[in-house]
Amino acid sequence: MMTNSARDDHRILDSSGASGSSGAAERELVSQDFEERNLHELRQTVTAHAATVLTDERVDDMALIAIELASNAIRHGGGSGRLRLWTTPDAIFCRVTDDGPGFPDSKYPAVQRPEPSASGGRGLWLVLHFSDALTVDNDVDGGATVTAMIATGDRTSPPKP
Amino acid sequence: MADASRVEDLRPGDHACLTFSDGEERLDLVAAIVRDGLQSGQRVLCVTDTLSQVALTGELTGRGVALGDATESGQMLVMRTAETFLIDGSFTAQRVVDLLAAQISQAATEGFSGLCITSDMSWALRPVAGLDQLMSYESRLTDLVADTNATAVCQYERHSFDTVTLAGVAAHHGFALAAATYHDDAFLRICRQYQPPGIRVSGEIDYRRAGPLTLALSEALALDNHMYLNLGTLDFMDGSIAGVIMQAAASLGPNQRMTVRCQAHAGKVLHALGLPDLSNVTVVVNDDQ
Repeated sequence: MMTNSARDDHRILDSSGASGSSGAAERELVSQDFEERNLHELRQTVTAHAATVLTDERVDDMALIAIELASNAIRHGGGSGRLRLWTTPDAIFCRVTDDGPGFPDSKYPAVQRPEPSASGGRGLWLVLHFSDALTVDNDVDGGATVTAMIATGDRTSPPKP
Repeated sequence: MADASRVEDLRPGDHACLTFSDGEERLDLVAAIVRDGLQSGQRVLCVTDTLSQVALTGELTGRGVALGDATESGQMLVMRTAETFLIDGSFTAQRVVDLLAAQISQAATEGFSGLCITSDMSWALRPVAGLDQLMSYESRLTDLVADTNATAVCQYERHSFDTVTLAGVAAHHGFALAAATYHDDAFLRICRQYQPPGIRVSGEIDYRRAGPLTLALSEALALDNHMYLNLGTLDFMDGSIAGVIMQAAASLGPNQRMTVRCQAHAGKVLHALGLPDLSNVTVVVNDDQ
């Protein structure tokens, strides 16, 4: 976990549990390494497993989230990473870790929607937009860990703030 | 087929071999051929095999080709395979050539500037009697339309016909006609859409193919004042690709418009990014998904 207070300003964190990685009621769905050539099958895997707990619309949200996080690791985080997908009684989590340089301040997910003419920055903004909670951590010994959560409580799409 | 000619290059006397990858692409090209034929005052004769006459007319109309008056006046004719290639269920090259020769004369007699014939050749995938005359037919058709005001376009599905047949067929046509393609592999196809004009993207696409999509969109924007981006058969796109579309939309000139047709989730992503808020942009979400 990041402890640097300057970085903390940039973290988008729902402290209610987006970082939860242990617990008796957890059920692991996917845990696999990936690189660029696996993106297609990674999305299919995430889609198949997310479909067991999410509505169709939110399955597509989770597939997009997973691909954005994985693509980010591939493009900016050293070319590969590891994806975990797990459920708790009321949520599904997707966590991508990589061994890259970690997130520079400027690359944290933008809270402001990118302008139409902007050349980039939409991937992580979409992750933020389509998830119900998101944590972004630079690991002490290098690499980044990003965890996105979608609530499954009522199995419907919750309203966006 | 990077060196294939475009629909707008068709001239009277041409006998073209149109190859396509799927039904959507075929109908797009046929719609453009019909549109151009009608606009130039020719009679248009469509021979349909895959679709019924009513279904073909519906597909063409759905692509923005106004057929009502042309059908009423006899400028537009749609005939079935059973009335043309497969009378009595079998194929005879000379019989079809004779039938088309009569149609060419009749179009001239009735005051049309020419006859544009386009034929769905899917029937030749079935084991019909007389199929061995296919090459002979294509060769005679070249001779028939040469130096006349008639144009003939034969439609062959690229992946259904075997390579030998396709090569043989192509050799008997004056030129090849195909959608201009920017990318084509097992997962993704990006090609020019002719009617309505724009770009069609099918399959799935992510940041690795942002380059060909950017090129396709910029070429389309240079050509079309109202550019259609058809994502109706695109099953997945990532944020980078949504960004390419956003940037293209943001670059529209004051007299340009862009219509994006897409599936539900792509619509949700583009909506989240603010695409429908841009002036001159319309987002249409497929309702049959």
